[in-house]
This record gives sequence, C-alpha cells and structure tokens, in this order.
Amino acid sequence: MPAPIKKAHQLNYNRFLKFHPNANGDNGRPVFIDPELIIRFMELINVDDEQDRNLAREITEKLKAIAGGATSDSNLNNASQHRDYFVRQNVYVTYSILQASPSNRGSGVYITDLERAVKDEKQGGPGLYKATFDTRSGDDWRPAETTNTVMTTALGAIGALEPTSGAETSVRASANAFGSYLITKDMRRLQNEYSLFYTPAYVIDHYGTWIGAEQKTGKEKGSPQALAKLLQNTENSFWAPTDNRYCWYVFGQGAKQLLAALQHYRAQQKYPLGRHHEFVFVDPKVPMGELKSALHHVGIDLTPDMIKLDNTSLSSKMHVIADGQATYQSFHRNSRQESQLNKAITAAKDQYSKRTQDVYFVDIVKGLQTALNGGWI
Amino acid sequence: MPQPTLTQEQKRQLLLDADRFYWETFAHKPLNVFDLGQWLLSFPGEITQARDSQPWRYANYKIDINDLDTCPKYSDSNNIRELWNNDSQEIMWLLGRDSWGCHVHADGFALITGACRVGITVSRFQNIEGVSDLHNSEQLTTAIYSQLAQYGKRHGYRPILSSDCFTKKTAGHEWSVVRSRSNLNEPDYIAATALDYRTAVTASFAVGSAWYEGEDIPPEIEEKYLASFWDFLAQINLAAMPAEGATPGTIERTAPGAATKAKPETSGW
Repeated sequence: MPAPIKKAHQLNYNRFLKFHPNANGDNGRPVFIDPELIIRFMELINVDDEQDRNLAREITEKLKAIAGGATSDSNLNNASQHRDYFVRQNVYVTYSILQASPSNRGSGVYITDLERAVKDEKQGGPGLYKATFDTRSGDDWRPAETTNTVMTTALGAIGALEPTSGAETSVRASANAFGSYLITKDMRRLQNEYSLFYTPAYVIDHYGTWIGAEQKTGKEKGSPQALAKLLQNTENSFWAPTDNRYCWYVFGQGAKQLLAALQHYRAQQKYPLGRHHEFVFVDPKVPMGELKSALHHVGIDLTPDMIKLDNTSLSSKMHVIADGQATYQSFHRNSRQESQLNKAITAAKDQYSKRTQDVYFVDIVKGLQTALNGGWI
Repeated sequence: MPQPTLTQEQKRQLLLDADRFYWETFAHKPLNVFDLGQWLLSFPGEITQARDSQPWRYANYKIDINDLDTCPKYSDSNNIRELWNNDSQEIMWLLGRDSWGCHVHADGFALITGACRVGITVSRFQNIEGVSDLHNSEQLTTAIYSQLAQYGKRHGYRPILSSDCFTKKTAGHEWSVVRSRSNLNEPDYIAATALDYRTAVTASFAVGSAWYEGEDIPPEIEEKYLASFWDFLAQINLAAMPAEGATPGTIERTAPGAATKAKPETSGW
C-alpha cells in the first residue's frame, strides 16, 4: 500500500515527471504526475487490456484540454484541486492546476493521486426481467423482475449497456437501449414487451470488485446456468408439436454469456434448441468459429443473416460481460505477481530517479512492463 | 495493493456517513439549446448520442409549442406505435436524456453509488380535470401528479401521498415536484415549471441501484441523491425571448485555457 497521499500544498511539485509526450505543453496544458504513483498506476491498469492501456491516452487528452472542467469535482477546500473519473478503467484521478512558481515545474496540471472506483451493487442486478413499453420522459421501457421459468415473450435480449462517461449501467438504461433497437428492427414480433436477460459486468479492474465469482457459482440469477435453465425449460414446456418461436437478440459481449449457457444446455438437454429458438447477434464479441460450433451442437446453423453489425452508438456502448472464468483466472494471476511487481518497481524507480527529469512517466511504465512481462510468462 | 473489499455493512456506513455525494460538474457538460418559439430553453447534458440512435423519438432543436406538427407522434420509424393523440393527457416533446453516477471518496478509493437518469421534455397537458392554467402551481402539481400516478399504477409503484408533492425553487424558476417510488424501489421524481397555460418544461429524475434490496432508502440518502437533481435543475435556463444570435443545437463546452488540436497525435502509449 503506497504511503498516504499528502495534502496538495505539502507536495513538492518539482519532483513531478511529465506524464506523456502528447501532453508536454506544445498544445494544451502540460500534464505532470507524482513519480510515487508508478506502483499504483501499474496496479490499476492491465497491459493486456486495450481499454486499460487507453487510460494513458484518455488522461492525456482529458486533462490537458479540459482539466478542472468537464466531469471533474472541485475540491471545496482547495480551488486548484480537482478530480476526474475515468469510467472505463474505474479510476479516479486527482490533480491540481497550478500557475508557475518556484515550487513546481511550471504552469500545468499536476496529478497527485490515482484511486480505484468500487461499484456498490444493490438492487436491479443480473437476472431475468420483463420489459414493458410505456413512454415517460425518462424512460420508454420499464423492466420488472420476473420469476418466470419459461419465456413469456416472443423476443428476448441478452446483454447490458456499457456505463457512460458519468454513470454506471443499470437495468433500466439497458432495457431502454435494447428496446429502442428492437422497435426499429423487429416491431412486428415485439408487441409491447420483451424479456431481458440482464448480465452486466461491473468493475473490470483486476483488483477491484468483480462479479465473476458469483456468476460462476451458478447460483446467481444472471449466470449462464440460469440462462441455460431458461432455454431448457422453454423447450421442455411444449408437450405437443407447436410452431411457437422465440428469438433472442444477443448484444455485444452478451454472446459470451450465451456461449457458456449453450455448453450447459448441451450437457443437460435432450432436445435440440433450434426447435423453438432462434438467435440474432448484434455485434457479437466472440470468435465466430466458436459460436458456430456451439450453436451447431444444439441444432442451430449459424448463417450470415443471424449476425447484424450495427455501427450506431448502441454497439459502441456494449459492455464487456464478465466471463466468470477468464476474470477469475486473470485475477489470480495478477495477485500472484504482486510481490514480484513491487520488487521490480522499487529497483526500476531507483534507476530512473538518477536520470533526467525529462523522462516521461509512461515511458517508465512501459519500460517496466516490458521488463516484467519477460519474467511473468 | 490489497483490494478494497468492503462488506455491505461498511459500504452502507460509508454512504450514511458521507456529508454529501459527488457528481459531475454540469456546468461543463455540453449545453443544449432549444428554440421553442417564444422561449429559448437550454440545459446541460450529453444528449446527442442518444438522439442519433433514436431519431424518430426526439424533438428537433427548433419546435413550436403551439404547433403539434413539430411533436413526434410515433415511437417507431414505420408510424405504427402512436405516442399521443388528441385524447392524451400529456403530449411530450422529448428533448433529451442524460445520466450520471454519484460517488463518495474513502481511503484510497471511490465508492460509486446510484445510476441517476434525467429526461427533459416540453409537455402540453390537456384533458385533465381541474387543470386549466399551469401558471397556478397547484394545477401544475395536479397535472404531473396525475401522469406519474397513472404511470405508477400500471407498473406497481407505491401510491403517491400528498406529502410527496412539493415545490422547489432553483435559479429563478419554481418547480412543482412529485415524488414516487418505482417497482424496483427506486426514487422516481417529476419536476415541472410552466411556460404557458397548457405547456410546461418537465424534468424526470430516477435513481437506479439507490439502496439495498428489500429495504427502504433512508431519507438522508435520498436527499443526497436529490441534491444532484437540484443542481441539474438549477442549470436549466429559460429565456422569454430568443436571444439575438442564439443558435439552437448542442454546444460543446470546455474550460478556459482549453487547447485546439495543433497536429494529429499518436494514440495510446
């Protein structure tokens, strides 16, 4: 655990490093960062994850241009201190905007703290909902939790909306987004309601709160097992041949959840799923080959018309669904590496501190990570 | 670094102990300017993305509150699902929606709580018994109360009590406010301020994931969420005559000292 962060006015800003070559003051404000934050920075981001890697860019772009504005909270006790929330990585950045003085490296933005965000999970969590159309100024689709064990609507949606810059995802926001998609694409079958299998991922920061473990047990309402059970019960509920058909729209990484569910289905079910079910994949974020084979095993052929690529804003907002197993494994890999990481960083910091101040913080991090990656795998 | 694993009890205590919640600074979100005919309405929020994905639902930046032809009538592009007709009690020009999260800061981390959503409309209220002039704040309250109550009845909301109706003054506007509690136990509010005898600006506010399942949200917690709504309402600006040179649309805002991009930049690292 890094030492407690000092008050802004107690810091020695002269020892701060330039953060990134793109924020060196040529355009916009220069951005500096406390070198003590190297460890925390490396803990907060996972180099294998592109979203995480983008943190450096996002910090650079946001702070050099609009620091102190945009989404930042201002410190009531210190007018120069601000905080910004980088929602994708779940990181809070605290910084001061300073004018040039002998105690700093010139006018600019000084990052003094990085914090991780912890999501507080309350109600409206993963599980099966029925969304009903009813217009109000804040919402069009109203989700209600349901304990139905079979499908009661012709259409279903699997997935969750990604958090926006300011707000976390919620079942209502997802119900609205998917509902508006279905209105445009499948009005005829939509009627006034659809089923929503809501499967959000919360913090995908390897040390933060993560929901994979609970979904993994299969007890959770939003687990692949629960989805498999729903598909299975629906298929089994027909005693006589019928032409009832159910169509699931699988949004973004919701396809991962479905893939896992299909494996459970296949293990436990005697009927092919294709008898009464069909699927449409909206920007599926899984390997197509894997999807094709999984569907084939339950009696469905994946055809090109089942895949819709949608370049509207909706698709770019699709959230990474917590793949229980993958998240779980990377979590453990990271904690095992922790002490090794600390040692390497301490050594590297000594080495870098002897160099010129004009070295960029991200270059240090990059160098460290390259060095560490060698030893990790 | 050990991860901040908090028990539910610890989280609950953090939220209860916090002096206030924090949220985004609305003053620096994009400013959305609407020409309503006799009025110029502006409010902050990132509404453009949602508008792009649902072009058939949202009103234009320039509307006329006396011309229902400027109000979208169908929710789908094939003109099947009707949003209002002459018998409707509320006809809404939906201007935009936005959302934000609240958070509290603790030792070395920040706890995110709640998913706050607002929707802004210009609404014409008609066919409501006892409502003939919205300038009368009691009638305005009756109008929004009746709409929220009907909506709530269809969706299993708790009944609204008379103590759930009140007024709130922000930045020169007086808002009639009605509060309710959704089927998911979320706080759900509508606030309205009159434009003319039958038209009002409304702002709805709901907080998802506000408090723990199966429990009533403590009043002090609800107040902390609500503070962000009052802050938002205070940023809604209404000018009686369109200001000279004002252009409807969304204006991106940056703080003083903002830079213009000088050259393309390499991304990532």
